[in-house]
Amino acid sequence: MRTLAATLLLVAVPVLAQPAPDRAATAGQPAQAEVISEKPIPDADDPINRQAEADTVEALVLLMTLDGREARLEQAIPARVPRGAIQKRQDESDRVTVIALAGGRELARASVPDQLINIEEETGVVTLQRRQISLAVPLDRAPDQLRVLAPASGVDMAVDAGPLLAPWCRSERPGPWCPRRPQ
Amino acid sequence: MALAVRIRDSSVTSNIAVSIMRSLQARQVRRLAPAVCLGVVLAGCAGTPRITALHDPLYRADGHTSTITATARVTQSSIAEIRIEAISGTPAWCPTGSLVPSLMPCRTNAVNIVSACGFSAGRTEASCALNRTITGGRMISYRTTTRAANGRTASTPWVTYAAGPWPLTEYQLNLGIIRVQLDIEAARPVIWRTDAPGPAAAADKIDLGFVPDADYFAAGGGNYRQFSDDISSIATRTFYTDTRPSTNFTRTWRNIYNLWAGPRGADGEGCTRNFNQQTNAIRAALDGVAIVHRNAFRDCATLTRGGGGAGTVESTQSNVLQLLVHESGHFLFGLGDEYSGGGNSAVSLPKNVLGSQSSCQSTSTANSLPSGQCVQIGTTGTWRNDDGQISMMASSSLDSDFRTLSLRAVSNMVSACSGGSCY
Repeated sequence: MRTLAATLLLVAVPVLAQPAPDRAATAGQPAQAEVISEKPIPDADDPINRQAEADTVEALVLLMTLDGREARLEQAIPARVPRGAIQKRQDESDRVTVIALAGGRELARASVPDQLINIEEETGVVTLQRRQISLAVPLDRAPDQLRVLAPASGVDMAVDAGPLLAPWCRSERPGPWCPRRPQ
Repeated sequence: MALAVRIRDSSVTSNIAVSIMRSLQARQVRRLAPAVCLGVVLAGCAGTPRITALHDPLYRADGHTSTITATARVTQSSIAEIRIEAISGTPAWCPTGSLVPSLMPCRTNAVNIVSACGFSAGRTEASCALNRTITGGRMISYRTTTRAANGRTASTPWVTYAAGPWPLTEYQLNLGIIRVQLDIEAARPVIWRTDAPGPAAAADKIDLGFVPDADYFAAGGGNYRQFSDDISSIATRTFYTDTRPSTNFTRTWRNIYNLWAGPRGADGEGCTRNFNQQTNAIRAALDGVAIVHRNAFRDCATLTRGGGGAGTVESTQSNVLQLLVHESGHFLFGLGDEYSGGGNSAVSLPKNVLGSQSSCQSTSTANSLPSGQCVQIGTTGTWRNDDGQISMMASSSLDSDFRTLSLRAVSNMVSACSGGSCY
């Protein structure tokens, strides 16, 4: 096993790390490329658009200000965000967690680091009372309440989700996170 | 043999490699094994070409000529051709027809451009450039391929970048007979590695954003163009062309970073940071944001491991590259300062600053570092592992680099990214 690891070590760095192009840039004047073909791409076939479709999810982006023991929800915007932006992972840092609830049942949650602790160069650790937090809660059903938890500041706040989403749910094509309209 | 020589020639790369191999779990080793073995075959064989590519400028927010340059090398053969394939179109909200905006951009009216340079026999090194005139806002993806005279080929993965004025600065919400304008922007890609669409791809990169501080728009402070020029220069050097130790990590592992630019609307001064709605929303999609400023104050960053952490970076400092790596050490990796008078606290994995000698020793031992290297940071009562070299988190020198426990922490992040999720 050690031999395998040593062998992998010897080759992993050149494989995973790109060769430095700085030296490449000294290879004299580059030749000018001759255009061979130019073809339009339908939007649906554009690889970027396909990637955006595959790699993003609908979420409620919450912009909050925490100030001491108070939390203020500044804005809630339904938006597509990268899957990787939906943070759940815990570590030893203080976290801000938002839980989307419907009828008291948890639909989704997201958690990002609280930004309470800061490091100022040549000064030291600075504890911020006021800090802006943004996070994205995945949504595929309609929440009726959002619960905001920031234990480091003692914040435990519930927000009625209906008014936040109402402007977006007036559309003729409401999202899956809109309350169902009566038939 | 060539690989071994290369590693021996770069003690820094070797240090990072050793650290990363230590941090790789057996499962990940097994996952990487086929790729690594393939790498042995590909990278180790003379006669197989290698190719690199980069666009220049990395980001410019108004009209210019954007140049994609690919450079290929080969031994025991010659470069016959370099091909540059580019897809250029107009940035657009996505997906088409969606009710809600996306914080990542899409593209419309794209054109696939295939271009090539042919070379006469005997060229073991050759470069090929594709110029595009940028007038309106564009989003361009490119990949490059080279073919050696012996028929072997090599390619670079797709990279996407924004060029020119950015059009996605507001979103029109269509509510039937009413249209509501939302102040929300999509992030502007500077280096967006778009080679591997798929659910896992979005999480296996560190998404680092740059936004201009308010002082770029104050009298005498410049403007957004100045900001885009500054970050283009900083990012090019930090991730590609610099040669000093302070950028060893970012240059070696640039492939795990996506780089983004955001709109104006941020204001930093000391540890006080204000984001307007547009910049704050973009933070929700990124792992960390650097507020780039020109006026002088002590830089400050959140002590966070991603999750929209933020810090300030003074672009006019001569050691700005080290500043960026150091500050992002705080807000992307959770590293603490290792100098007396700094912020001697960490949330990194492992912590690079410990609360006692015994915890420093046990953490060092657990990370295969000599526990005898544990030293107190001044008289702070906090401890670090010091191997006698210039540490990135202990110095502002361009000769500093991640060492000992901080190296383990950043290496663990690389390992986590290779496992599919950086955070």
